[in-house]
Amino acid sequence: MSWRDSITSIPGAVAHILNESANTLLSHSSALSGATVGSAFSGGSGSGSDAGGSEEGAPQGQYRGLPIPASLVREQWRLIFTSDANIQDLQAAIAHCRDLVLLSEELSEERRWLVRHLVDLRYSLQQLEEAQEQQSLSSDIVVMNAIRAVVGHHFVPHHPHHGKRSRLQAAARRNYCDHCTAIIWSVVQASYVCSDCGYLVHQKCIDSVKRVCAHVLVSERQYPVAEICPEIGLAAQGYKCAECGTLLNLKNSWIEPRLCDYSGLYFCPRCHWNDSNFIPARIIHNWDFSPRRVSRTSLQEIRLFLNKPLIRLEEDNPKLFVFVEKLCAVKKLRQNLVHMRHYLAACKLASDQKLVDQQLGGRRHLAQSNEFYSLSDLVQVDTGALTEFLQAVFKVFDDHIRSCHMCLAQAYICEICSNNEVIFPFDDGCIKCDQCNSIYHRVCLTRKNMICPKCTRIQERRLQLDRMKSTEEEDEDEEATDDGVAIAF
Amino acid sequence: MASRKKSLLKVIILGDSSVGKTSLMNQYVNKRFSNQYKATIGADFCTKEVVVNDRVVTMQIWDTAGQERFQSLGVAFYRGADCCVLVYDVTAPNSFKNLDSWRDEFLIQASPRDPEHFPFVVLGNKVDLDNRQVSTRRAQQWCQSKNDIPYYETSAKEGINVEMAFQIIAKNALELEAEAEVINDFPDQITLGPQSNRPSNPDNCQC
Repeated sequence: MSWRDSITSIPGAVAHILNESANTLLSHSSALSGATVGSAFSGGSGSGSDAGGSEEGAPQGQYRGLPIPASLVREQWRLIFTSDANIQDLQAAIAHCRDLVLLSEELSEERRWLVRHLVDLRYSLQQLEEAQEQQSLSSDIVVMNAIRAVVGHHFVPHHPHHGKRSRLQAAARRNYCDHCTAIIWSVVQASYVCSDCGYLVHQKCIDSVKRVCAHVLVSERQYPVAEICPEIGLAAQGYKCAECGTLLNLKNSWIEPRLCDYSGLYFCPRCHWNDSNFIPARIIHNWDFSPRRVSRTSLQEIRLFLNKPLIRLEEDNPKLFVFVEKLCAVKKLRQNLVHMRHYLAACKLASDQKLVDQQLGGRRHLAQSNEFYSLSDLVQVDTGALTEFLQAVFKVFDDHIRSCHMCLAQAYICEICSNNEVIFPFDDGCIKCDQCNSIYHRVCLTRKNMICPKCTRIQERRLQLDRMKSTEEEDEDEEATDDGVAIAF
Repeated sequence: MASRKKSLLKVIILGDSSVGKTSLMNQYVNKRFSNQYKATIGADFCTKEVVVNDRVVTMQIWDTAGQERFQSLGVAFYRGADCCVLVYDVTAPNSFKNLDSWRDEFLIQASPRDPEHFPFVVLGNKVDLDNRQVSTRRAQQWCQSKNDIPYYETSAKEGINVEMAFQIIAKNALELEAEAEVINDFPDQITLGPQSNRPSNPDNCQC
């Protein structure tokens, strides 16, 4: 197991601090849980032997969580449990884990792991409590409700018939186990699905799952792979599958190495099913939406990135806005929506109607700024769906603003021509001064050689204040107080 | 004559952030005061019926955001204002110095018919506080230099002078309207007399 590898390299950065604090806690928590502490911990601390060292001698007693950070290895005996732990053990571990979270450094690897582990521990506790409840009712019923946490996945029972119109339809769509790749015969075989990444697995395979949950990867990575297929080559991978470590050999025709275009790594056919998907980096750099073959884990990862507004397209690829016309239109529409959102946010009527929420729902980022795009936004720019969507939103917002007396009251009036026509920042033919946010008719400002009259005033005013300040100082020297200021005005 | 006058007075309150614009309005309209500071976003108005010169008029008081970051919206509502209230904080000299620019900006955006005689009222707020920084004399001098703007010292917290100040505001606003009406009755005034019909200087004669 990979976490055991980390035992060999204890840097002990945070470890000794944690250890010190844990020692003080030790007496406290052991008093709480009493004699039960230490009866069912997996493996001796740092012994390096495989799991199953508990006194009860449960053969399958294995830790199935995410790899523990090296600095926390010394704590593992108090944090990690096997499936044969009892409720008190788990409660003690939860308390200890919570204390460690508070002691750990903010944004550190340790804290991230501890928080995830705390969640997993609580799931395990829930599972255990439910199991006991069930047992007290009747011992025959198989427990299938609790969430099971394995290598970052949160597995819930999978019921393919739920929400489907008929059993026939459900049967028509075959489900395959992400671990053993065999069909899941849903009528006779129980299966689990990860509520975070959608990993589907037989009940019998659940304890041997190797792939770390894509949701964990996504939150670690924070941003989709930015380089186009960053291939390192089979040799650098040690001729092994990047996921399960199966030996890959070009001569062995049974196990062909398959390249994942997203991660640039080679996988065995069990971990790479030749699924095709668009590649984020190819969209950002090449505006290329053609599907490429990706591994299972990459597919799940891309799916999880799909709706996250993370991509600063203009920063990554400014030239794109020059020659992709659709993108230009979307950018302008979004800028207009940002202006409109200012009005709607300040308008009581619009907030009562929840106009922004109702129109944009989960895609609020579209009107928050015009910088960030999600992958699905980019796909929709290409198909034209986003332009249509934004135009519809624009129309609804525009209708409100032009009919609402509060919004109209906060319109602008072009001070250059000073006629009574109200103008808005999102109107065609209007221009905004980037410095003072004033809005003018484009023609009017052009007439004034693009020099904003308000900015000129602000500058004059500043000069005047400076002059006033200097005269004030002089007056103070002359010990004249109020008169000097009055003259300055 | 009285029935022909419009019965809505539009009053705009301006000034730096946290000088007490919202508090003044709340004290006047709702007779309430809260110590908690909450920045106004955008603009909002309250209405109150007042009796001025034996007439019932509705006063529409517009409270504005003083903080620059909330000034991302326009000020079209300045148009058609009948009176402008400039507020500063007697414990903050900068808020007093900025009255000039608030007044100028208002006149430009509202573009009233007669900017020189547009009714302003200046209020020095927070006189209940001990650490006063702007003297009454200094404020009065400034008001005099700007065409004799009426000046009052108020406390929104204690309710000092608030009622009285707004009464004056309503009165001044109504006076402007009366003047405007005279102008409206005779849109093209022709004054007959030798001085106005002929150029005063014969050298300028364009014949």
